[in-house]
Amino acid sequence: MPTPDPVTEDVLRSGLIVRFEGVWAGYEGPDVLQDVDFEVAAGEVAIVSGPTAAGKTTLLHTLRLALPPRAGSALVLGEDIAQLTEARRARLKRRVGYVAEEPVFAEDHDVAYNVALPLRLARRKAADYAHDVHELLEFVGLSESAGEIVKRLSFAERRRVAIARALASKPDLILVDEPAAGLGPEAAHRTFRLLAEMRRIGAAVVIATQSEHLADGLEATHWRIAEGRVEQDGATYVGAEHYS
Amino acid sequence: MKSVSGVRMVFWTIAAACFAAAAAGIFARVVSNMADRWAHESTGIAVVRIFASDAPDTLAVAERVIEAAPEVADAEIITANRAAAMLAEWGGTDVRPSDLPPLRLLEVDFALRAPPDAPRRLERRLAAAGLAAQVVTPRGVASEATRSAQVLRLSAAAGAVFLCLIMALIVAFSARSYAQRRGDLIAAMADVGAGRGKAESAVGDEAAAAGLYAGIIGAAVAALGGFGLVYWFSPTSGPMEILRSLTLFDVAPVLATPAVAALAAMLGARGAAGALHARAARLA
Repeated sequence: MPTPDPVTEDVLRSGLIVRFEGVWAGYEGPDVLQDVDFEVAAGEVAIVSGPTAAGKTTLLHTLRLALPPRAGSALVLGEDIAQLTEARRARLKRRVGYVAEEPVFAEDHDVAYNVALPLRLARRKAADYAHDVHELLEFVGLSESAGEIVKRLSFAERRRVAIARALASKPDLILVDEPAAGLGPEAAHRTFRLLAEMRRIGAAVVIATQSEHLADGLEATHWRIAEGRVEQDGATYVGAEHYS
Repeated sequence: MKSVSGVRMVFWTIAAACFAAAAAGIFARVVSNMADRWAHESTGIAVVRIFASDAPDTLAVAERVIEAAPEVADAEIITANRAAAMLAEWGGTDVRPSDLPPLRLLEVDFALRAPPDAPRRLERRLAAAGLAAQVVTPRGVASEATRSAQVLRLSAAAGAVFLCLIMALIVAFSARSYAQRRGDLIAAMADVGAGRGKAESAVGDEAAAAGLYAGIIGAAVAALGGFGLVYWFSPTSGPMEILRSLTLFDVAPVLATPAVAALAAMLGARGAAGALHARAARLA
């Protein structure tokens, strides 16, 4: 493994999982993210809120290495994501758990198969990960549905399967897009709490949402995003040591 | 995999393509064998003229030597009666056998797969037995028949190869369609950090297995059909006799079809899976 450069080393020492400085990113048209500064430390929950089309999902796509930055410095898990080879990006991606607004599954396979997908990719044997999968399904309240075919699940159940899958590989960074979408207030609040629990495994958690108030009462760092620009919104949480 | 019926349709499309490819291969072999037989009927005969003494057992010795030769299927001494009958047939007038001089001739049928230099080999065998002889073959007819048979064989083989290439393309495109139906799996794999190679392998292996099974079914049906037709058109040959007459070349289309189908399906699916993975893993 190559020796990290001074900036990367500094980021790793500070416990930062993500550090964006002046990042610009977009799809085929104009820039969606504009001059974004953003950072998240290990064990921290960051809530990014903003209206529709503000750039929340684009920020998550950049964080999950699906959208390379056009300009600026973007370090994720100590790696400059603008410089990644395809193989390196795939390896780094395995350390990032992603829960999309509409998660994609192997639809004709059962819940257990989908949750175990990251573990199969890591070449773990079924006998070794069976217990982990069961625990994850218990954690998201789907232990009775392990054998259910995913396409038969409700929207809320699919969301919970996605959370279990995102946690399966014990990622260092967890990204969640609109966890409250399609859920009632009570279910949405419960999902938020579930996601906040993820920091217990030492991961950094980034939640993008329009429903900012659903995160009330959670220990989290709040960020606002509007028209592709991100700014920290009076920290309500002081979690990681580097902030103290 | 959006629908089970869609996947079934892809599977049976591949099986149908494999059936067509195997049937074309079998047809080419049947044509080739028929051309061989036809050419043999025109060229696989000769008359052996013995230049030896008038010793009474000369022809009998020659007949034994000739019948023992592996390149000969049958040999018979041309008797005066037989010669008279042939002359009567060709000349149109009756010939009395007693009017004919002493003949030292034998009719020879060469074996179906006798080498092209069979007449010369036969002369050498007779010389080794102390019999000077000349093997006379129907030259003009032979070369034309051989050439025509060769053209027929090559045409059938070229047609079969062309059809097999078309069928391989159909299999590859069907496998692409199969991979697209597995787009959800590929996208899910990309989401959890599977590289392009892993996504290609996962879907490519599934498609290869489907191609192999469909190929076995298609080739088996074609083989049974081909066997049935040969049996039907050869009422004098029993099933075991037909099976024994088959060479490795005859069964090659049946054996090769599943392997080629698996390869074509794997390549087609891998190509599509790679493109789908690239789209899922990188949005710009």
